[in-house]
Amino acid sequence: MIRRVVLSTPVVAIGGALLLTTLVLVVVGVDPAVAYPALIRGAVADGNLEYTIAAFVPTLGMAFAIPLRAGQFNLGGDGQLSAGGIAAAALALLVPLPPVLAIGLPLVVLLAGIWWYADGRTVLGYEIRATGHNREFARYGGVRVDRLAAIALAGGGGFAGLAGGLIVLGPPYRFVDGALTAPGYTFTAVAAVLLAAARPAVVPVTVALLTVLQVGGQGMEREAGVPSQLTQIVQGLIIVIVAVFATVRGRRATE
Amino acid sequence: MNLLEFSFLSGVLTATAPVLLAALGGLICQVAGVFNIALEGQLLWGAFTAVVVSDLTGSAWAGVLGAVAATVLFSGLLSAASVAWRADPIVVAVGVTLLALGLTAFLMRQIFGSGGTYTSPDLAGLPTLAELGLDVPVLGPLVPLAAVLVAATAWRLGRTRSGLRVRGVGQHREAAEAAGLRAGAYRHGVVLVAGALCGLAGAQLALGNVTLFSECMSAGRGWIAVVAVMLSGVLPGRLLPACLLFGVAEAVGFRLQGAGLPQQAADAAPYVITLVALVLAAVAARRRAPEKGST
Repeated sequence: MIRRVVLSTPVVAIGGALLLTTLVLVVVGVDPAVAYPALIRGAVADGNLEYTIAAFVPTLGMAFAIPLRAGQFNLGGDGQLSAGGIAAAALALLVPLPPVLAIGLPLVVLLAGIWWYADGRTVLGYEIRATGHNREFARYGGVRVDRLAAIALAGGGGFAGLAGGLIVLGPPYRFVDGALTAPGYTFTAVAAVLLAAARPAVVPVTVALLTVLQVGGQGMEREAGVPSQLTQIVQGLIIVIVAVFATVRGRRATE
Repeated sequence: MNLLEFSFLSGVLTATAPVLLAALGGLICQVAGVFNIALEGQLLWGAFTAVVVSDLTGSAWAGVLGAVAATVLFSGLLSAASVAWRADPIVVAVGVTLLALGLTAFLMRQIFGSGGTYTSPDLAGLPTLAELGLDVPVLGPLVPLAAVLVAATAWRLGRTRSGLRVRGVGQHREAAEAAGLRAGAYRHGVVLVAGALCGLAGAQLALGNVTLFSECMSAGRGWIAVVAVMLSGVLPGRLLPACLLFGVAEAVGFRLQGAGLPQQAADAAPYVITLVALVLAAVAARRRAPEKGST
């Protein structure tokens, strides 16, 4: 059991990424003992938790946008996020929509619960998992896989649009050019979903972890002078390591 | 010759060159059976390293060589992950592209001391052909080189023994291995060559089209290159029109901006046109082969 935990993909990916990141820090001459505490403080201390939650909501929303569970991948997240944001802003001009001050977090948590239930307890969830595991087998078993893939991708786009709408209708209640795509919600979500192997119960955890990293990176920039883009490097490394490790393990399992 | 027309033509060719070079890299990977959609990240890395080396040495040609070398090195990660360990090519591409985005933005702040856009008098841009003594104004030397490389690749893949082997590895790995070929070595090779081509593409973008580096300056050209490879049906001869489509759209958008079109619409035009062309081509291909296209 211990061996399984130690060798599990998230542990290897996060461990490997942290190791390489520490190496980057040392190479550019920053003391990791200064940088990492600054990162944690930047994410959770002194009212920063508010920013972390504000980033957690759209990132989790974007995580719903990636139907990896159905074996599909959605690389158009940034575009869908912007489309949702601009639609919400336009609609708010026509029909005065109320600012969604506090419903963002409860809404995505509720959606995560629904997703978790649907995944494990409904026919649709079963068909999605079957298609993700083995498309041909699912087709053979009577699942209309093409239609399901289309539904999964369109639904994913819908969630991305919802995330965009939540950002625009949340504080400061306006559409800011670049505010939707610049924080990199889409790629953070991609890394989180891969890290969780798209398991609904695990995705919120990995999203929270990577959001802390993302928001904390800005604290690290303020305190230790390390460019916050370091967190993008970490995410990129995590994605590559997960991809490699999952394949190697999969091959070992079949051999 | 009408100067206006020529400046439009050179605008088209200059906009085409980086996409064409990156797409050529994607094409040879595809021929050998490696799905390389990390071109965007490789292109951005090439542009950044070209600017860094050119800035340090004061020589644009050193920048080009530096970009080629650095991007081949960077492609080693892609080659290890997707060829040696056979990881999912889409996931690896996302990781590599994100890594390139992060690394370039991070190193930019470390090396040049600021983010956003970097340019400096120390930064040497590529000369134009006119400055090299040829009677062709405006165009840089990597633009005709791109066309030559496309022709050379078509010849190499279609007419030589090594080209045949690369195609064999792509069409049927097991059969190629049974014939004594080391399929893995060929696949590592094409990924690294694609890295070199993306290094050239990045150098053309950052030292030819303009003389500066700015964050995310590849701006989706690598993804357009992936689309061009698909549009071409993996034939080098068809790669040129596919990339020219993007170049024309970018140059026309630039022109229309002068005629009062908002900049954002001009920026979006090449991508919209390429997307529409891809959908139309896919529909046409499916109509031609209704049996095959049913997945």
